[in-house]
Amino acid sequence: MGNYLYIFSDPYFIRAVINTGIFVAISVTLEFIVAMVLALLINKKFRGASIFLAIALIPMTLPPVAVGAMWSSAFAQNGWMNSILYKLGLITAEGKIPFLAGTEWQSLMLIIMIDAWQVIPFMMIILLAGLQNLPKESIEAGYIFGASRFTVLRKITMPMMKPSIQTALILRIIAALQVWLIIVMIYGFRRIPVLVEEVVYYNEIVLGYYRVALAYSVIVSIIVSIVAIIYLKVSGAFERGSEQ
Amino acid sequence: MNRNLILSRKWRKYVSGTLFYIVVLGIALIILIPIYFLFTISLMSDQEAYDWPIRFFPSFVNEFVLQEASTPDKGYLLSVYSHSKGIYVPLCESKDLDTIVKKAKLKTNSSIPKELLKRKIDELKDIMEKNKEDIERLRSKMTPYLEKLERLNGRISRILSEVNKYNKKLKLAERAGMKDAVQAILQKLKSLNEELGELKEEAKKVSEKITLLNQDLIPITSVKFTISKNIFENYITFFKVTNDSIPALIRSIQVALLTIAISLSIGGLAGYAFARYYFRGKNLLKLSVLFVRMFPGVSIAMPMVIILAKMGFYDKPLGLSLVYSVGQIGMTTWITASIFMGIPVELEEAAQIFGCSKWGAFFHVTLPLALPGLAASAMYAFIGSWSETAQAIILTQFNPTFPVVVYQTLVGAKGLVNLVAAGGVTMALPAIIFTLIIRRYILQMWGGVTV
Amino acid sequence: MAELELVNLSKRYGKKVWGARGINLKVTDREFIVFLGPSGCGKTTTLRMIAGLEEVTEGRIFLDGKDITYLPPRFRDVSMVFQNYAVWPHMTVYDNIAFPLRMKKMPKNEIDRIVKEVSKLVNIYEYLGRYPRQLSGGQRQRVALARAIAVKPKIFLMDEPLSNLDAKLRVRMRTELKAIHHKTEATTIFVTHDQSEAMSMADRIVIMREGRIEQIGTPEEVYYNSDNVFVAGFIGTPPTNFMEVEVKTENGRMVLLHPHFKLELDDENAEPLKHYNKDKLILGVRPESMVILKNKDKAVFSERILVVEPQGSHQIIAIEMEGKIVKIVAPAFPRYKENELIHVSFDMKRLMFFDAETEKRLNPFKDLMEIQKV
Repeated sequence: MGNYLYIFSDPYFIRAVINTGIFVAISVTLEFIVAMVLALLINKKFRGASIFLAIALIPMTLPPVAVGAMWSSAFAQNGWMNSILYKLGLITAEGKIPFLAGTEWQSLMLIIMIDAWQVIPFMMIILLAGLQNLPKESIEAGYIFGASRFTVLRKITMPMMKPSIQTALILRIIAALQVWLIIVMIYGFRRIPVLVEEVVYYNEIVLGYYRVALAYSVIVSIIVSIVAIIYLKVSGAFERGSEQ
Repeated sequence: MNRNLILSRKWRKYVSGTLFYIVVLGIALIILIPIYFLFTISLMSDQEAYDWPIRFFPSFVNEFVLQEASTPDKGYLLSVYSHSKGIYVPLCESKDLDTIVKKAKLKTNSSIPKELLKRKIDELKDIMEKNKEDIERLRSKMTPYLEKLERLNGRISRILSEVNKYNKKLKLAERAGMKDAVQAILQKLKSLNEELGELKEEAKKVSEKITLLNQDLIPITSVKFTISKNIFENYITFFKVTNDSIPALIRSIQVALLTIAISLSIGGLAGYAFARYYFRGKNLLKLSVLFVRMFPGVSIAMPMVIILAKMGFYDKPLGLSLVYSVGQIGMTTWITASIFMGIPVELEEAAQIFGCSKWGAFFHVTLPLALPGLAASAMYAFIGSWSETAQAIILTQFNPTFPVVVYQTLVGAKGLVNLVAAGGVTMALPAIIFTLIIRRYILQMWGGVTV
Repeated sequence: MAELELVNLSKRYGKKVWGARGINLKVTDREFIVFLGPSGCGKTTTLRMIAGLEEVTEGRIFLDGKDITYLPPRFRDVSMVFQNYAVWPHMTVYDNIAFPLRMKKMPKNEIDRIVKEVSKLVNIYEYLGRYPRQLSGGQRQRVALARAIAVKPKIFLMDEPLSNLDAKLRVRMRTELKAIHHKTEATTIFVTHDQSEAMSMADRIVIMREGRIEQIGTPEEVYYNSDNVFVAGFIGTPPTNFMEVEVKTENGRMVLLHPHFKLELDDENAEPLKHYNKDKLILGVRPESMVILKNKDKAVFSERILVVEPQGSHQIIAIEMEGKIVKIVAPAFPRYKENELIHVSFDMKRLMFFDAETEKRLNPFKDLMEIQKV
């Protein structure tokens, strides 16, 4: 019990909760909207579709360490991100952007961008699958009975996509709750504390705090379980066992 | 009228088609560029990687220049050409050839044969001997400029420090609200800046003069040579520097193979049962499989520390693969079930009718047909286990897996960027290759995208 | 010699659902038996029990007097052709046919000889080296057939083997299957839900419904001498017209009363109804047993045509009586038109009476041969 009291009185805990909350809210919303728009844009047969989908698969299956290495080399002061901006004429040699020196808020945004790079293609594929699995006839029927493109999207496509959107969103929320490795690899511990990072921090970095780490992991588990149960309730998986 | 309509429709189609491909290409580029740079940087030498702006292509050769050191007792100066800066940057000054070779290798990933260096030194001596008078003349011409530049630079740095001082004062004054003082300081700063500008202008002229003279001087006081670069040097260095990485790599493969073995044997059987038999609680089982997948890995790992320690598997590949299998079995069950469902029962029944036992039918018919799918699910398990870092960090101590080693070089030591990149590429390569091999299965699994 | 006997064969799923119930059947040597019925009637379940793919809940299966009820499929000496062919996709046509023989540990040259002989019989000799995915549906079906023939089983089991083929090919394969049956002379059990398939191929038809056998008989027997309403309705296209009529006696003659007509029965027809004591019965008249007359005098009833369906060789005329569609098969000419008034009479020798409650046949024809002569 003492461990929980310790956690609740720890200023890092509050920051971790806030950061996690912000991260989940912004990243999931942003990723979903962009992915949905992209999925709608490329929802047709085109040459090179299989190559494109194969490429889109890569970010999600990339090991987190590789992603960390990639982006820490990008956002270093002398990294390639600044080099590209310089070569494109967007910044001068003196005006290199100190990506990693921003405030906590800015840093969080940067992490959200990195996460978006990994997740949007994945999300796009899932939504694309949802779109492709829609019965074509019902959408065509919408057009035949005089609905505009936008109306069809809003009144037919979206409602029919609802189950797959729900699944994608909640799985993403659960995954976003657990993001920490990328943050630590780019900023180190405790620059942007998030909940799961604190678990590892107390387990690996400061010694003798194993119980605090355990308490933290219990808190994370409870939060994730709540979201998961909401998901199962919403998707009706309790009733039908769910295919997803 | 009608023609116009058709034409405009044609145009619209053309434009929208182009826009579409721009979007597709854009997404592909955004995905690929970071991966490309990770790979490029992993091939760069220290000198290249820390040059700015970073080149978009790694070089395969290094151009060196050998000169005499500034003072004769220091021996020789080796410089390497920097493509970004467009000049030769000095690498090291030494009398000892071994030191030069070593330093060159460390910084540029080129190993200069000692014999070559010796020969080049002789050449250098030769050239300088031949052009002795010219060198004398040019040097004596240059000396006053050099002295002048030094004086100028000294003054510039003094003024700069003064500017700094006044800037600080300005801040204090502003905070204190002393308007007169602020004015005075601003006045002072302005004059200082003017002076600085003049000095810089002068220094620039002098250094241009020096460069001009140098152009004549360099060819007769130096020798150039080109040596190929070992582009995979970083990978070798990574495994040498982080002395844990080769055993870690072996351990990672061990863990992955064990995970495949455990999750495929249990998950495969479960998948077969799901596909072929009806039994009570099937849905509940499916649900729990899903729940395990959603549960945070780190949270699972924490109590596992104690459990594995009690079982004696803590910090051992087997322990780690057991934990991974827990997460993987669900997925494997899922995949294999869909594979087995794709194989009609009738094929097995036909085999039974035509002389096979149940097991015989499974081995003669179902297994060969399921093999590609099973291989895919094995690869999927491999990717999962190979990439996993979070749980591995918690569940290992003295025997880390490979991703943990890469993570430690990145986080702990803040190692050189190109070395980390090499580690990252080593991690990413198997994952990417396997992903591409089994992309059809992954796409199907993620929701049935038809390719 | 291959004689199959099913004794009280039953299959139950869970506690209540019966797949098949009390199946009794004797199949004699070289016979071509067809199990016919709507989907879910238990015909496939019964076949699979004979094959050994389905566990038997109750009853016994004897093959040549030997109890094979609980024998695994491979020891039963049966072979089977599946609905979706079940040709193994990872083996060539040759291997597909040879696999069962290899399982029997036959010598290689013997296998080779049989495979070639059988593949010639079913016309796939030139495809022996190909994989199933390179073949059309019909060719795959032939491979499945060849595989089944090659093992020289005591009994052939065929589970709707033609239902996945297109209509034209189906009719052709029917003929070929029958020809192959003549050549191999193997006892065959064939499952189908297509009554015309059953009629055209079977020596005897077993009509099933809800897990039970409704009637066993030759095609003629089940057609003319349908045992009950279900069989009469299932066999023949268009199906038998059923009309519920009242049974009355007027002036000492038996009369059938329908809201649209009154039918006086002759002695021959009245005879089987003598002991029938309910007021209602179901009258069954096949569309082919209705005759359209030129004038009203001898007609049973007159009605306006609802729809005419020309078929080339004949035309099918539909009229509506009491909310029910009644169909009549008429010669191709003269062509009738919609809304035309027609006068219809019945072929009195082919009237079928069924018990209104049990739906059992009341007037089985005594001599089928007699009818066929008329």
